[in-house]
Amino acid sequence: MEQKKIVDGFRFLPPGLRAWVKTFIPDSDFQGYIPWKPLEKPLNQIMLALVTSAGISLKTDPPFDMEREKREPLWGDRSFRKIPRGTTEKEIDVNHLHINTNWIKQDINVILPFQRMAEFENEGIIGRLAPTAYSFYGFQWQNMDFLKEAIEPISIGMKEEGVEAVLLTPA
Amino acid sequence: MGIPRTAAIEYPYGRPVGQVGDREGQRKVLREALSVFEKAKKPGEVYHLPFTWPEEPKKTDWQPPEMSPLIKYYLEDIKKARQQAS
Repeated sequence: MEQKKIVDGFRFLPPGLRAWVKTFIPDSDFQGYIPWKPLEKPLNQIMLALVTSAGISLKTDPPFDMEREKREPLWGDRSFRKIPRGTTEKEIDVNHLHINTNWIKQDINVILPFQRMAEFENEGIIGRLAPTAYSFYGFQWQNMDFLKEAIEPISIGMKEEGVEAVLLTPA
Repeated sequence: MGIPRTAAIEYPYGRPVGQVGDREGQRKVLREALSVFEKAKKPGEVYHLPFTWPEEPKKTDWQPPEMSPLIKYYLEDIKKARQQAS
């Protein structure tokens, strides 16, 4: 697995934040159990779903709750939203107190690449793009309830649609 | 935290697929990221994507307009960590 570029995950953090984050991120690789299923078919035969932690919601749905987080800085909204494939930046709200959300509002594809994946589907690079994508809110501070409240129902929804692979784009 | 397979990219937070309106750039990133599905053979592998963001970190404007509640809450700790690191 020879790789030329090694990504510096801290590159975009200002020095103070970089030093602070490093105090609680372990240097060593994760040693616990990692769920694993190899891809059983070529990509051009699988159904792929998109998931993002960018706090995207449809304008017709309730937005993620930023006001409570402002009052309780260690709390992050644990809910999730379904985003139908083909949704455009005109149809969404983006709420996230830890990033500049304006870029996503200009082009949803920078984090939820519906148009690019539809192109790949047409070109036979992937089999199908799943009808439903999911968004949750990336700030989950030492919070395991989120797995039950968001990830479990998301995974059930994916199984119902026949999803075979997931691309998660973090924020 | 363990992740089944990772396509790491050195892009600013909030734009992991690429720049606004850059269809070709976004396609290249996604093709590389998708290739990890076929390359990864065991849990936890990390593939480093070979892309470089065209702007210096300070010019990427990725940060929120207002300091996040978490950063405000831990500001003194952050200042200390910075002093200790320098």
